[in-house]
Amino acid sequence: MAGSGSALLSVSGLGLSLGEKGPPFLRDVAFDLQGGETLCIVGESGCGKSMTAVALMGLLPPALSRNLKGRMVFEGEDLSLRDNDRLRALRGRRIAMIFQEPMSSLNPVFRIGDQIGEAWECHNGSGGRAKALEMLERVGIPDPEGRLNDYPHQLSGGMRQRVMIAMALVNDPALVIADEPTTALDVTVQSQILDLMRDMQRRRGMGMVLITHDLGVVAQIATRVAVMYAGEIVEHGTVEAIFSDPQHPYTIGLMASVPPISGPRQRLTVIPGRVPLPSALRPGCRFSDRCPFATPVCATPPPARIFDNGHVALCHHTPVESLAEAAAWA
Amino acid sequence: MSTVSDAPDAVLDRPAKSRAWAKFRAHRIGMFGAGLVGFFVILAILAPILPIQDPIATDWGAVRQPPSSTYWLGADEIGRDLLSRMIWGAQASLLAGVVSVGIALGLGVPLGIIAGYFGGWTDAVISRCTEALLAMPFLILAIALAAFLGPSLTNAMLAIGIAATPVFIRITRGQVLSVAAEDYVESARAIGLPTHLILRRYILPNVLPPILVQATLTIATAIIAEASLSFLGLGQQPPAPSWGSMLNTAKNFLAQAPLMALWPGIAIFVVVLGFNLLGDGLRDALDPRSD
Repeated sequence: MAGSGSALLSVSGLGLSLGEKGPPFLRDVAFDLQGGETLCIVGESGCGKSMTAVALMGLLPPALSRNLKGRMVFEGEDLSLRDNDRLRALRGRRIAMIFQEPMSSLNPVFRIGDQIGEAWECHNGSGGRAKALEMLERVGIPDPEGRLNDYPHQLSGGMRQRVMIAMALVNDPALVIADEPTTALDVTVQSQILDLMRDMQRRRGMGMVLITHDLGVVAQIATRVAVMYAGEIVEHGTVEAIFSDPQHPYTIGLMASVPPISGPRQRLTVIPGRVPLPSALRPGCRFSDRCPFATPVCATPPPARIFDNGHVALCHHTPVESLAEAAAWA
Repeated sequence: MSTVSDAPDAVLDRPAKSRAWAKFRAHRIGMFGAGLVGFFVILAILAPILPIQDPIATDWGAVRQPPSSTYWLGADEIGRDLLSRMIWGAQASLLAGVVSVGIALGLGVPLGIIAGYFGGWTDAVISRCTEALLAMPFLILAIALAAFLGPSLTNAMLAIGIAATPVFIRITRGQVLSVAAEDYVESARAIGLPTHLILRRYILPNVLPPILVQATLTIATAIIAEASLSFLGLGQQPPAPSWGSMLNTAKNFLAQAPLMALWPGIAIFVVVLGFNLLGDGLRDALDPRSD
């Protein structure tokens, strides 16, 4: 599946704006994903991570999807991101999604066995309950026979996220898009869920797009990382490259703002300011008003600087000499 | 894992349905309403087999008689047994209430779901029509429709049902707007469920509770409307008994036989009270905030 050059998913030119001439939320988002790989999309709130995920699923509200641009090649099939009929046919069957809020993402009036079964039956016809039981076992829910008839409110948050995963994976999709799947869970449950997702992925060779703002999660699970800022992927590379040799000032800032687990306690480094609203975007580098390295040249669109191993950063000032240079941050 | 997450689950291990039921049973006033309604429902259902007299058989020796051992509630202006007419009248009233609300639900809930879920032009058209109908007083609308359709119990039920529809469109639409924004609806779309299944299995069951409460309260209104229409001669046609038409004839004999008016008046009052109390009880029981 992960043949060289034939990616499982290849997204190109994904753009989204409010209205015909409105400011773009998303600008030229593009990435490739091989089967079995995990691409983590990271960035702070409001940078367009979730919007990207929802756009790939064809789940944008109609008012927004009118202004969606871009194509994706999925399993060799080239389709427009506005081809809602085709996307709906893929949804749940070949592309599945895991949501952020397990507490509210299950229908409160149906037994979980029926919900998982329904996800199976709407693409395969019958046999939903047997499949649901099998999936509950696979996602490690104790006493699956008994749980089959439970309602969502009878389960804990971690259990519900397992049910969501069971629902997403019941049709053996080739691609899973997970939008902050662990954010609403407490830390111990988080790592169990991540382990489960990684395990399921390994067994089935799925590609996974994981959206998160938690760099700990990224380090644990990612193959490659795409850093998003204000609707653009500003840096893209393998997880090693991004963590050990971040090149874009925004990535450097993100890394610097993770509290160190050892060493003397000090004030946390923060990136001053916040993500600009789409209406306040300027031409040129979108990060320049918060960037300590910004110079007048940053008012022009930044070039894509390519490093080895597919590591790309969108900045005039790369390559950055070292992390020490970034220490001047605060 | 299992030991940690099993413990809190055991505490939560209570089926959802029985929680609302337990709350309703603890609601004394609601239970009282349910009792009143139940009493009349049983009477209405048992009307054909109860040892009562024929409601349309006349006895010229008993015209406007006060209560006696033969005529427990007395007899009307042509000597028909009032008790029997009251019980058969209950059948007409309850039938009118339930059927007309059924019609209103059958029309209003689908329209409300369509308006709320699809939005845009569909919503605009349905909502403006709803508002136009809501601008007319309920009873006037029902009377106009019933007069247009022609006097009969069936047409009265139809008229009341149509007149009550806009309320259900409104409530349903509002509920759908909030439910459609829930994460589980998006996750249903994410598993590729077709729209009709999302509407049927995800939207409908989750918008039902407030609609159920409104339906109960509307049955009470519909019973009054049926009585009003029958009173005006637009509903149940003589000689078939109806509380409304009984009141209509009784008003001619208020001085001679006040009881003829009293019985149907009390019956309408009690049934309507029963449905209202039942509705209140249901509202409290189905409201997740009133735990």
